[in-house]
Amino acid sequence: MGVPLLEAKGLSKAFGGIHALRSLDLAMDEGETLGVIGPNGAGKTTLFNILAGSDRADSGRISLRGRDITRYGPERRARAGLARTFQHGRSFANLSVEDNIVLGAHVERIAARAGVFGGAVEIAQALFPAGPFAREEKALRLRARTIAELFGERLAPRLGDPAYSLSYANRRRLEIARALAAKPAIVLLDEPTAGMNPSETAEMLDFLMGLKADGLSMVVIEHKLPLVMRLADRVLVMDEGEKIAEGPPGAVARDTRVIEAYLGPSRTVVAAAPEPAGSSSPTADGGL
Amino acid sequence: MGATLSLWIGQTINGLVLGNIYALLAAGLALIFGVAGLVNFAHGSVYMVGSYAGWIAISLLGWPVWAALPAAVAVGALLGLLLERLAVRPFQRAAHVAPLLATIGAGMILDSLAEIVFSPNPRSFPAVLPDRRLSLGIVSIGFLDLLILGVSIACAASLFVLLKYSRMGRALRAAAQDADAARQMGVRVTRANAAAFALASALGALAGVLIGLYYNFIIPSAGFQAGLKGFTACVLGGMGSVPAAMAGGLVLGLGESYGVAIFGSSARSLIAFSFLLAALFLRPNGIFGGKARQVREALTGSFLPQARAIKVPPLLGAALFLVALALPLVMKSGYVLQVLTGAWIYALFALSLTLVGGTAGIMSLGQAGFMAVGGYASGLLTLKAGWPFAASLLSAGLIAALVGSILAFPALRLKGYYISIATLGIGEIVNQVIVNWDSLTQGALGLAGIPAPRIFGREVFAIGDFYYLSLGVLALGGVAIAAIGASPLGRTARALREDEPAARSLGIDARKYKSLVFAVGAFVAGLAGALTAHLYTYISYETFGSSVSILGLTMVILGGLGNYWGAVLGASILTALPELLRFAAAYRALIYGLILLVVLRFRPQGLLGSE
Repeated sequence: MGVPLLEAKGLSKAFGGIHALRSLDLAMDEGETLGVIGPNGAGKTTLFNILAGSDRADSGRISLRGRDITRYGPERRARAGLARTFQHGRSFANLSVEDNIVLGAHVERIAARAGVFGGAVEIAQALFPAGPFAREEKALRLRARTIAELFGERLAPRLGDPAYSLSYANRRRLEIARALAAKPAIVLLDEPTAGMNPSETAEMLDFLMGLKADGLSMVVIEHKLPLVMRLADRVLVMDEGEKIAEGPPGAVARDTRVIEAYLGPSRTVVAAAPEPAGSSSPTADGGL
Repeated sequence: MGATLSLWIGQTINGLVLGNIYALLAAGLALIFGVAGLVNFAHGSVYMVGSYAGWIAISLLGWPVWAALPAAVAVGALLGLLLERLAVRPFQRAAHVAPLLATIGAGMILDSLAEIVFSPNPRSFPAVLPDRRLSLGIVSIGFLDLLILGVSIACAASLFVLLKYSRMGRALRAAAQDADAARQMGVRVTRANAAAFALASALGALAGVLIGLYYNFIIPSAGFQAGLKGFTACVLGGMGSVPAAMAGGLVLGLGESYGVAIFGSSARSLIAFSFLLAALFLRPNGIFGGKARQVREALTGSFLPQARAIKVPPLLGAALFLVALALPLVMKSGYVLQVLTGAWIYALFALSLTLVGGTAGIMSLGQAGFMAVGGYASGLLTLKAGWPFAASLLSAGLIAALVGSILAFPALRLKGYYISIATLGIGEIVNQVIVNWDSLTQGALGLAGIPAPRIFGREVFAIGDFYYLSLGVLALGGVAIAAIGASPLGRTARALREDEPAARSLGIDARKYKSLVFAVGAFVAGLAGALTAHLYTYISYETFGSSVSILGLTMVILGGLGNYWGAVLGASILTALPELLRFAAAYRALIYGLILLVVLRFRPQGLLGSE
């Protein structure tokens, strides 16, 4: 085993007196898909924000391919190869679908790699869009088309349309397309199917399975357990800011602590009795 | 030793008196910010109207001061209700930038009405109290000081009781905490908003009368600076809370008073606005504001109405340029050419604003400050250093860009309203530096005898020649800005405007990109300022005052925010309109304010559509 792709050690975070994360460790390898589940308030979103760099942990450290990124803001993490999506589909509404995806590859641009001369390069590119600048733009547009085509009819025919004209589900797809544009080392997906109906959820699962088959490393935070159980190689279960179980989906689903966390301690006793109507069990939650 | 001590005690009393007046202003701003979630840029104008109401009562009607104060308060409250009804409520559903601009429009209307009714000249405010002082040892305090302190402390106390214990106060506090939840609980939020405006404006009007009594004169243009001082107090103390804002008022009053003791009274405003910038940069949540959250949403992103802008095809653009080139052949009137030359310079300025405010979403309210930097830079370089025009013009742009990015870089960390307040302060600080830096700028006298440009050995003096010069610079600037807008830089700036956290997650360095666009905008504004300086051969700090910034903004909104052809169209219309309506010359500012309000209300995307 070499250096893990993403590794977090001892992450803790408190909001006032509430401990959202308590000394949490995680590690994942290249090509792996890690699912993070847990009941509401378990600290999943806090963990996600800290991994993505939009929030800082009180203690603990994070490294990406052995590089310490604990103190990196979101911009530097993106440059280090980490991409993310947002829970509520934050595409750039007044920009075209194509522009949205091209922006995803920002870190590869000449201007983004020019350091302190970045500003001068941007002005030069704006006023003289020829030579290497023209080639860059052409290549990025081509890549945007290629990525859009991964989503078939959903995005490819709409490249020129403004993002606000897309349906909610398509805006979420656009966000994933944007996250893929920089060919990231790892993608953090924040509830990729939130607000989607069962058929859209199934389509998204197929799509993510395809990315996984292509070797993409992903961290998926999801409420819909069946999706996580099928997609993830390994599942990390959180409750009250702590990791209560970790392992292959099948083993985690049978873990008594997990069942307790989801259904409450008394449920383990009642679980033997017939299910009351309308209740949910871990595997039925959110349904596919 | 005793003399120094009594001087400092005297300055402390002065500071407390002024500070109490600022606290009244700040309390109103914070109240409106809390309840309506809005920075009221018309607050200074309400204060100014209040001071005139007091002046009418005391000077014209001969009322005693105890009757004049409540009268002014009543006028203020009524005005607040009117303001809320006409300039705020219609824009409730629109994103934040619309009500912001609407209050600016309302302020313009009030200021210009006051100038029309009372003339732009100062009026003296009669003394209402005997000029006597109470002496307590080395401390001596005037009757007027006691009156101001007493009235403002009494008002602060009653505001506190009202907010804390009355039904209306509870409704106001509920609406401030969570308007939706308050609505669910039966609080009439619209009414709470109106009440907040009435209360705040009553306090603002009272502050206006008190300041009239204090300085013994009033002037219609005082509203702008007063409003900015109110913002300063709010930002110093903490925008989110009324007591914190009032404490900020006291800090500002004391700081200003001690500063004047050290640097002299001409530096008064410079001191105050340096406080504003320092507070915005160091503690944007205020000294007493704790860790209150900043307004996080983008100001323009969601405002841009989701409709396609009207595109001007390149061929039509070229044709329009040719028509503009041919115009002097047909129109021989020097007057028409003079107006059009002004329009082209304003169009250049509007382009700089629409790039910054529209494309990058940084609502700059002090853009004329960079015009001033450019104007003075080119004027001084040709006048004192004998530089050729081509070099001084380019340097004017570069110096404006440099000053702009240095001043704005710390501010670009700020979000939402704070950045607009910061740019307003930056514009004003530039003007105050010009007034105070006598040795370089000749201070309030202004810079006279700026030479006519020389291009290829030919003196550009005749208006026909200057027409071509300004048209040429506009064409070059326009092509460059359009290229930037269409480039990856423009795309990145728009992404930041639409959703900054999302853009940052893609590796986009928000502050770097915003300051880059800001510098480009300042460069273009600097060119416009340089052209203005050489066209008129005389400039002063008043040439590029806040009204120019606001006029530019009106042009940009009229044409369509972020639309480059729209900026040119808006500038042409608003420069030509007052000339077409000659009789309306006195009503110019009034017309601009009305246009701003009407466009925002009925065609928020502007004539050509936002981009």
